Amino acid sequence: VGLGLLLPLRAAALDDDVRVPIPLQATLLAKVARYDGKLAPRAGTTVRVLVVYHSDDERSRANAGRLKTALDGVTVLQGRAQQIETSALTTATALAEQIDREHIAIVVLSTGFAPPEVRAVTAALAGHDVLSASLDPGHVPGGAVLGFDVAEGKPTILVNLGQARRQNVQLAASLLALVKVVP
Amino acid sequence: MRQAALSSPPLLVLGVVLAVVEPARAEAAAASLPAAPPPAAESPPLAAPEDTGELSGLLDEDIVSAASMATETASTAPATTWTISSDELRRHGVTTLAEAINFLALGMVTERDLDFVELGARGVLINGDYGSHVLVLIDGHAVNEPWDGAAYFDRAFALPFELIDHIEVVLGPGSVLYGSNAMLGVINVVTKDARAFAGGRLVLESELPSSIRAGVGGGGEFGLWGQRGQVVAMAEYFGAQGPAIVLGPQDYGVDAVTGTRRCFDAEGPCDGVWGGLVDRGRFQEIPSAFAHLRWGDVEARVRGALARRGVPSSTYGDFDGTGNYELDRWLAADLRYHAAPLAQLDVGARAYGDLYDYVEVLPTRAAENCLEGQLGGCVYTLSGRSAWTGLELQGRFDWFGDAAYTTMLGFDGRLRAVSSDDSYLDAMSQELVVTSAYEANEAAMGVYVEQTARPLGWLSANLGARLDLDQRFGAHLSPRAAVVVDAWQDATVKAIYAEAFRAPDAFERYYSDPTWWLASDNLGPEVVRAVELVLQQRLGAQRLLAGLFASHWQGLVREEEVTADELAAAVADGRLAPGIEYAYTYRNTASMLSYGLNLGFEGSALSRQLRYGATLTLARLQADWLDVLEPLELPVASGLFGNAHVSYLFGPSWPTLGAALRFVGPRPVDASDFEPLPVAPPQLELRFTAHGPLPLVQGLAYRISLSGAFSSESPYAVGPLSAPAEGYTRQETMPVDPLRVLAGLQYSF
Repeated sequence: VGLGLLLPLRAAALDDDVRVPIPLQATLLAKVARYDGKLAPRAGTTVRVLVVYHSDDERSRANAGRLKTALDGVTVLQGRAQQIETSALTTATALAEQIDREHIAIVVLSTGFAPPEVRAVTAALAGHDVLSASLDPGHVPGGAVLGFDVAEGKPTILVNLGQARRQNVQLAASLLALVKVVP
Repeated sequence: MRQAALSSPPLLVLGVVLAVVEPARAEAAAASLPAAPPPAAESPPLAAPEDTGELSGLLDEDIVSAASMATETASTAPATTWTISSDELRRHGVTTLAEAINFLALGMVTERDLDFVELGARGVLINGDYGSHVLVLIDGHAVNEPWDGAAYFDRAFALPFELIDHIEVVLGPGSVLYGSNAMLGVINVVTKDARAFAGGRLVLESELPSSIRAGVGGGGEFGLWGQRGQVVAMAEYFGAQGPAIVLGPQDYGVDAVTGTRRCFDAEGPCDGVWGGLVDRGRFQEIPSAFAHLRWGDVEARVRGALARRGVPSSTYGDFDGTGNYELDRWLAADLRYHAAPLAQLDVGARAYGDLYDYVEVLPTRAAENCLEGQLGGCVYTLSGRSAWTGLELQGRFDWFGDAAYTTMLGFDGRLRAVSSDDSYLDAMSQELVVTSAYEANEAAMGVYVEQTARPLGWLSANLGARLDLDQRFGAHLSPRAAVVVDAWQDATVKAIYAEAFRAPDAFERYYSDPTWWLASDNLGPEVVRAVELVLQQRLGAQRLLAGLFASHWQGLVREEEVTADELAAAVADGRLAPGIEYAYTYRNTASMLSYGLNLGFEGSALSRQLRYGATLTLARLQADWLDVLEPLELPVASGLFGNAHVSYLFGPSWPTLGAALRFVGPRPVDASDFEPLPVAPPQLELRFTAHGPLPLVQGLAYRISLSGAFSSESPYAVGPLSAPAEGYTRQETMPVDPLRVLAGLQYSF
């Protein structure tokens, strides 16, 4: 009976897509970003992080807010100011323009994006100077440079190296020894 | 890239210094910054850090879900948790839940009586409880059944081990979300998803030369009607014969009924002597299968298993008889749906159903073990059956959308049917006499609520309670309160109060025999209340845990002789047969206090190729603490145990070598009337394991493991003599297999 009552409910992006708790993702993102040799020159005096959510998905927006809250509590680059903002994705092209215009150093996709949407963002970000990441590890094969998954009860770092090169992300070899490279 | 990172040594030093002095919770000061200026050309580029210790430490952070039914890090969970990964299971040749607990877990320990295993935690082990004081879950689905509360930790756990992703061990009372049985803790075995179990698997393994295990399984992802799906399944067969052991001899003497030398063997002379070579009756046959299907937001799991095991040393059956056995069968199904109708609301529903039955068959030629008149022997049979189905509904609301304040409400309703009987089949006349039988249909429900709050960045609280209403015993409330403080950099301190209960099992509640046993009509739940203080500290890639605990156990079920008035009343109303002079029943009478400390350490080095860990538990037991605190010795329980392990991964094409040890202190022997009570000596077990890929054949891997036990004595008395007798001056105990060799192959395709 209970299943029958619940089945008609619309299933938005489930927290199941967020396999690593968001506070830990924020900490990991900040730590891993330091291994990007291009982050500091890209960021300048202020590390600007943009968390992008799906405009039609309330859960996506909520998860973006949770990540912003968590990132507000960690330091990405010591000695640099940082600014964390969230915004809805309008188009991939507009996102790429915003990254250039506002000198975004890190862009994070929230949950709720379908594979074609991720691919569109990936294509738009190619050639732009930005570290991209996603709350959903399923987005990494689609083109997010960085994501976090759980394997055997522990967090793992997923890296899309091809996309990293296309976005001028230079990850240290010492980091790559710890990550799972996603083709 | 390494050269680029090192190209500016002064800045590298600066980066390292900055990393060291970095505060844990720096506030972002740029929230009100004006529109972004272009990057300053003169901004100094910081070199990427070469030291990955801190990051390695974060990657070793356990992510758990059993403590609060939500994904969270172990350091913030409202309980002491310890996780064992499948990688650790592989590195150390682990083949059973018991081995995983002994060699790799914190705070729990198991003891092995030939091929049957019991579990204890923090100094408490209830001998003969069939695992009913710990709640065992497979992906959140309870394994403990409602007839006897049983859960197994040996091969009869009956889940293909290759399917295990990780094992969460939650120490301490856990009824706040799970209800009955979670007194010592909760063990949640999490199975792999299709990403971790992609492709096919063939497994062939043996504990040389006595056992064989063969399995086949696989997993994959698919898309169907616009939804992502995945399936994982595996089936295996485990069979064992031996290894042979020698027991006895114990000169028991004459049969109390016939007055002649008692028969112990199924064949051969009746010489009144128990013992000899056990080479036929020690066997195990355990086929099992598990499947997990997910499609969109719907998940289904099915598990079926059978465990048939010899009982060669029971003094109620023929010695080493091939007809003596225990048989457990399980069939479980679990269907879940999870949705997020609102951004701040998760809801879920779980429907489940289980079938379980048990039978113990003990043929004997000894008339004294049979009913009156069965002079040629009999076949004793005990059977129990249970079936249960339930529905669990759950909702979690995130009040402000930032996970700072969440409320979870849950409902778990269940219908159960249990039945049992025991009987004696006359070996000569084939007449079957049923001496006890009962059946009951019961309803039970639990309602639980959990409130989490993170009012400050460094402070979080978790308050919860579960009310269980059960036709078997009435009502019981299980609260929990936990406060977690980020004390200093990478350190958390937890203070926890928690309660748990165990509903009386159906056997305890309903069993009766008019010749000697009175049903326990007023039996209530056993209850444990515990406080804990836990410190967890991460130091780079090293993690430490230190915890103090104290738990008070009340209403423990014990058998007691009924009073003269109770006896007279039972005879008068027909519950006991006329002329009965004494009888027994179960009562909630025992209480005890347990307190002590847990220490745990885990870490890695050399780019995580070297991994190591150790745990230690010290506990002390005291009885009747409300009156006089007196030392208590629970049979088989030890207040000192722990383990250590180290492994090294040479490279993807090379072997991974692992070494592990477990130790346990002295333990009082069970079921002995010797004075003083015999004590099994401390035990130390060592294990060395190598595993890796085999050359030439892609996908083929091997595993070899060698285990040795230093002491040959277990804390389990064996044989019919439990007191000194002529020629028998020392309690015989079940021997421990001194050496075990495991070899196996796995082919992945």
